[in-house]
Amino acid sequence: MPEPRRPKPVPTPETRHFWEGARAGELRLQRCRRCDKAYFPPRPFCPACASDDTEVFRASGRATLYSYVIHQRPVPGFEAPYAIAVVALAEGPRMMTNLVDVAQTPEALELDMPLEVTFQKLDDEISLPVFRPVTR
Amino acid sequence: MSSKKRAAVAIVGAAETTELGEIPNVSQIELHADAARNALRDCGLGPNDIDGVATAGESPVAIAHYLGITPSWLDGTQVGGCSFMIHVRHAVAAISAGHCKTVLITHGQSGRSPPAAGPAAARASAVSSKRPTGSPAHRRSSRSRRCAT
Repeated sequence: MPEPRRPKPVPTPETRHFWEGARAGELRLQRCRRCDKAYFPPRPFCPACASDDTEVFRASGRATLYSYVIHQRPVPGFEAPYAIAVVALAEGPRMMTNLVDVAQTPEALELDMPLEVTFQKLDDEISLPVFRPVTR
Repeated sequence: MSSKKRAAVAIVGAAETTELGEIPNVSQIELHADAARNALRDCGLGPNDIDGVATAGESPVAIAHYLGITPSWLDGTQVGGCSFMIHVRHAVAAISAGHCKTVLITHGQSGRSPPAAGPAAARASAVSSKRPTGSPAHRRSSRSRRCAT
């Protein structure tokens, strides 16, 4: 029997721009042209003011660590222990993600630590945005 | 007594998705959202006016988050095709008990190939405790009732 693998996101018409961006190494968010709110996850209208007038833009990729939990049990496609993190993007929205290039320990993961996006290629279609500590 | 309670709650808006049939450019959750936003337009309400969400197939939490609604009441009862009629009854009970004032009930399904594209149908209705007397909501309510049944 083949090993169960990590589940992969399935792009939908509304999320396609996000996954195309990730494939190209860009973190793409949406912004409301009426109230200027940046939002995530993708949808064709503003969740703050319900306007249909929205645009896709390239985010800075900068974020801070908002919260996390360290998962200790083995899960297909993941190497335990690993952190499941919520990061606060510089543009405002929060995103659930994983952290790389850092020990997956409470000592190494300090809340509010500055992070930057990087991309983990799963296959030719899907790359996942993950975050690493800013070293400079 | 019970008839008096019933009269205090009305279906104030109802709608379907903007397009019907095969809609390959719309995901399942967006079918819910499109119908919901059309129903809100139908009764002149916005996401901020909604404090209760009920749905099946999708999570009511996901629907609320997607639409920018912060509800005080949720119902995810999933018992097949009659789920949504049960949602209406639950909404009437919740409104009558004071748990919330205006409930959004959504349905959306990509039958052929979820979660992306497929033959699609969706509808949504808003149930409100707003007294129907003379309000625009009342004028729409009879049409909405027909839509919802």
